[in-house]
Amino acid sequence: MGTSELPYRPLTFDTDGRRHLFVRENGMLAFPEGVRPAVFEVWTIEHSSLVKVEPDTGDVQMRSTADLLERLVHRLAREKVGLRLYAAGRPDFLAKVAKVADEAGLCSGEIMLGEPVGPERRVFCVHCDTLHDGVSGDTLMCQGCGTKLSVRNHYSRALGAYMGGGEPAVVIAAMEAVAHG
Amino acid sequence: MAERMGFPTSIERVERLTPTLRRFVLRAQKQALPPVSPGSYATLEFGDGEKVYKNAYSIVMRSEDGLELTVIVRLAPQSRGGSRFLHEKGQPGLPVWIGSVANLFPIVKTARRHLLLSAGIGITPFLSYLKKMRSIGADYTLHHFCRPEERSAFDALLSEQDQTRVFVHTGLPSEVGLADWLRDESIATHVYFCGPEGFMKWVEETTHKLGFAPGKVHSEHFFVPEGGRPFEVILARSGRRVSVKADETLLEALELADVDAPCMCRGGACGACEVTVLGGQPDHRDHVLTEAERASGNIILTCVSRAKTDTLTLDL
Ligand code: FES
Repeated sequence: MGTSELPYRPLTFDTDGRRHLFVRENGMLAFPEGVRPAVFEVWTIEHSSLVKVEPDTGDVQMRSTADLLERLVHRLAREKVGLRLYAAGRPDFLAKVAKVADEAGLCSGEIMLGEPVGPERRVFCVHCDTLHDGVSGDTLMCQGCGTKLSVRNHYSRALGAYMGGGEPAVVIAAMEAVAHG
Repeated sequence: MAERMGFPTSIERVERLTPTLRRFVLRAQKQALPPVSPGSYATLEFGDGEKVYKNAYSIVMRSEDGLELTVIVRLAPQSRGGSRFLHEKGQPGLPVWIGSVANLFPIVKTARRHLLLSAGIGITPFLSYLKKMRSIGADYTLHHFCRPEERSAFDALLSEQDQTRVFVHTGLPSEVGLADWLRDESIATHVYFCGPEGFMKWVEETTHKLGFAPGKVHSEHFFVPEGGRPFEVILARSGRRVSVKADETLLEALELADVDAPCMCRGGACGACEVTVLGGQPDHRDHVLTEAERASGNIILTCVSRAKTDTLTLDL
């Protein structure tokens, strides 16, 4: 996978799918739009005991993101053609789900990422390879090498992270302008 | 037109596979032929003093040294003459000009598993796929469909393949249970298919019904264009009129009249020959245009499509 912006868009059920799995980072996130398909499962990360349980939906509660992702890996490895996977949550969560889906061989029509909630991103330091989770601004101090990083628009699916580099923002802007033509 | 692009070759060997299938090995006269990848086709030009034929055929093989290309040609009942000419007069020594080589049907490099489905002559792109997939240790399966009387020919053609991955069927896809096999494929499978129209339609509908995402389904709707009723084209820019005979394509008629018309695959598969229609009603026969483009009636792919009206005015 190359680098690009993740393709976010409002979630809508794809009627061409035969089975549908919705993974969400918390119970407040709405189901995809449209008529709810017959075969529909929801996996929710339970952050508090106040999470509403939807009846009759094949609702599954997960303890943590790690738990959900691990189960997703196993599930997709056994999954047959016809599944549509929908994900809702923060950019970090979406990035991790997208990476698992990519590795399982899903293509763009099979994985749908909702508009991210919250501005946090996962950032990779291009100088020392340190990953930072939950970065909400455009700049941060690298915890690995101490460089002041600017977060770039480019996202690496392979790493599941945005790139952070030490060049001044104006230089990055100029580089991106060249890269985007 | 300026300098002629392409590669001069001549027929080196001919082999009759069935009454309707013949294998031709073409040998380059000068330099090596362009590199090919599995799924590539070549546009071949050949003929006698009377008529020049230009058809595109899937490349089955390119020799290590790049000097030989192998194609299989089916004698199409509706052939406008090209395939018939090769079957009747394609003897060793016949000059064949290779106009261009391109690939509209490549193997998806990132796919985990490849399911190849072919019927009849549709096997040709997959002969090069099989070689490649085997050499890289890919996960693949081929199901080939043919008529009972052709079975032995296809068995022979595939005899050197991994027999645990290659299957020849003489029943219809719907009879042998292909829909169930498709349903059972893992989510990582990519499907590729090539064959006659009825087969293509069945696979298209079945994969859609089973929920294959469009990005996982790949087909080559490659065919040798058929003739039809004659019509006349008016070239709007010069006011010239060119008539298209029953046994020639619109593209051939334009070329014969020295009109510089764009083209590439000559089989309704690439879209390169698109021309704007200013008047008259096209009879679309390609597999490139969308429904909306077809309905608009203002573009035509000249290599395969014809006219419903007696005249067609083109922006040429
Ligand atoms: S030349 Fe390719 S579609 Fe006409």
